Amino acid sequence: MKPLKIFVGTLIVIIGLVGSLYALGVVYFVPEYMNAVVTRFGEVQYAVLTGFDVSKKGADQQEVIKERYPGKISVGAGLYWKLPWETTHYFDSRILFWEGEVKQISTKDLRTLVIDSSARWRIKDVIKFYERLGQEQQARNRIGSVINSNIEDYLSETLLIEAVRNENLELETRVKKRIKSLGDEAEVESAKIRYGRKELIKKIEKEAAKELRERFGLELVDVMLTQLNYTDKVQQRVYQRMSSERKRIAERYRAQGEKTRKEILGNVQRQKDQMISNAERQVQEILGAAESRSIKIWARAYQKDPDFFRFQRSLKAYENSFDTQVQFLLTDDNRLLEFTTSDNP
Amino acid sequence: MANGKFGDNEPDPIEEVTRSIREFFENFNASPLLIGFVLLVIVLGYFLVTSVYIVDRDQKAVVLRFGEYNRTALPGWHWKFPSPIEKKYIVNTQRVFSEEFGYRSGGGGKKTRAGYDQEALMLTGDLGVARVEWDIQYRKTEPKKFLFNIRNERKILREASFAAMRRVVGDYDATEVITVKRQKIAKNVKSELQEIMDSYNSGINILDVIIQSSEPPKPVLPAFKEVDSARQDREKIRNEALQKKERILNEAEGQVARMLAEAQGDSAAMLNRARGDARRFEKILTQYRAAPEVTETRMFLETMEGAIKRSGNVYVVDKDLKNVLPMLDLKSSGGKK
Repeated sequence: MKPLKIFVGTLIVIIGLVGSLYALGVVYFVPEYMNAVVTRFGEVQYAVLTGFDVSKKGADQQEVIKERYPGKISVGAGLYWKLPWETTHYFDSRILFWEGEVKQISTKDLRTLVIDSSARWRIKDVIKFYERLGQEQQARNRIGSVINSNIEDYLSETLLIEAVRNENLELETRVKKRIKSLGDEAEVESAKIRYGRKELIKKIEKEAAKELRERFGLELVDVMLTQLNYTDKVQQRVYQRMSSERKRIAERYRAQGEKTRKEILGNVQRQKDQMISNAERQVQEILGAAESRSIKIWARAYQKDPDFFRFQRSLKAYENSFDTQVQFLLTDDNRLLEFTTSDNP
Repeated sequence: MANGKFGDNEPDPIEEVTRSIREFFENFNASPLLIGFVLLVIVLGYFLVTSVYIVDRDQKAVVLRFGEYNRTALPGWHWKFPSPIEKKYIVNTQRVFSEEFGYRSGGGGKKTRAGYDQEALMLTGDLGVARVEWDIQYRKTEPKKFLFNIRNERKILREASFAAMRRVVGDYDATEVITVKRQKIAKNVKSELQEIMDSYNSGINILDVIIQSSEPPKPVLPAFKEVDSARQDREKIRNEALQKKERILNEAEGQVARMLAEAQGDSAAMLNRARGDARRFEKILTQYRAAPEVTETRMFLETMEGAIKRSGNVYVVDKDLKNVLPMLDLKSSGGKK
């Protein structure tokens, strides 16, 4: 029972002590995600800067601010002392966003676009921020006017293609090739980009960041174009262009099909003719060879007795050629009639 | 202080309460030990409510002491000094969050696409328009960074996702966006988005970027479909032509085979005839040589006999006769004796 009593007792004392100091307005806490400004009758006395996991760049920025207000700046979250009649003001130290509104803008090549933008920012020089703006809403208004005017300025002297693309040589040549193959020379010019979207954004950021930092103690983290579309009227025209482009491609596919068919079938007729004539040649060769062998066979046999062959073959010829229409007119000394004539020996 | 509003007869309500409390303790007649025990229970109760906390399995808790980062607590039971000395911030580090762009999925896998054209329509590298719907999945993996470096992470993430998708799609032409480059675009958007989140030191980890659909805007759709069907037609025509080619060539091959077979057959027949003739001649010759005179005569006579018999028209004339015409009317008397 005794150690518990001591523990509980100590706890109550600590809670009571801190609580009463807090109530007296002598201590205040600065959490990790807040900056604090302490004022006495409206005059800034000192400020606490936080910023968790600050990068090298962030730490440098804090050094700059420290030098700007010597002896007035503390860095890091925690428990701080103040006089009871001093007031504490807290401002977020995290990255916040500014949301632009949808608006119409013309590019250098006079294309009207609907764009939407947004930016990330954070409070860096909290004393300047407190003195000049005081509230986040004020800051957002200022950011809006600075960024909007910058975007307008830069886009109005930029070709549309630069705002759409980053530098990308590969695409450039690809698009050129495709457009050329469709016979649309007008588009080839606009397919070239000189710096592209990333660079454009960087330019907008750079200008705006300088102004916001110097005038209001704000850090502009980045700017983004979250929308970039044609206006409805232009969109209809673009859709028409896309459609007619597609139709041309479809047409080309059809022509290609017809061409391939002709190629394949024209070729096949030639192939067929070749095969047949080749076969005819082979047939002649085969028959010729057979004939020559036959002649050889006949000759070899008949050669054995040419006279008898002549005799025998003549007889066969008579037999084959004398039909019923033949009339024999025999002289009386014919061999057949040898025994019919009187002067027979 | 309490009069004015209330009549003199009416009892002061504050006095009433204090009196009843006093009466309660007087009637209770409690010992000092009991009072001490009750106080202890009250203190312990406060201690319990603001000091003990539970971190779920998929969570982590960051504890600030007087506003300064002190420790990160893992899942389980923990205690801390009561608020406001120590404050805890619990983050769902394991849970996967997702955001949808260009559509919203309702209950039961139903997708709403109407009304989100502003989110989905974007310019392509050839200055055409594509309609892309995608979603992203992310985790808040580093609670410290997540809590202390960004505010309203959902909004920040959405804006970055819009910008990244448009930037990447701007580098491809419309046909590529809706066909072959979808995977590549999703991959590039994911790495770009992660880069942006890292630049904020946000502690957010992008798990996945998935392109749910990418297609031409509705008014252009028929033209794109026409291209598809034309391409299919081209393939069809080609295939048909190839089939026809195959058929013709097969027929030609058959014809060739037939021609060659016929030639082979003819030549075999020719050779057989020659051989037959030769054999026959040789056989006859052997016998002829045995008795040449007789055989010759016999053969001659037999042949002539046959021929004359078939004809039936034989005229015998003197060998000195010069002309047969005065004797015979050849034209009209064929077949008569």
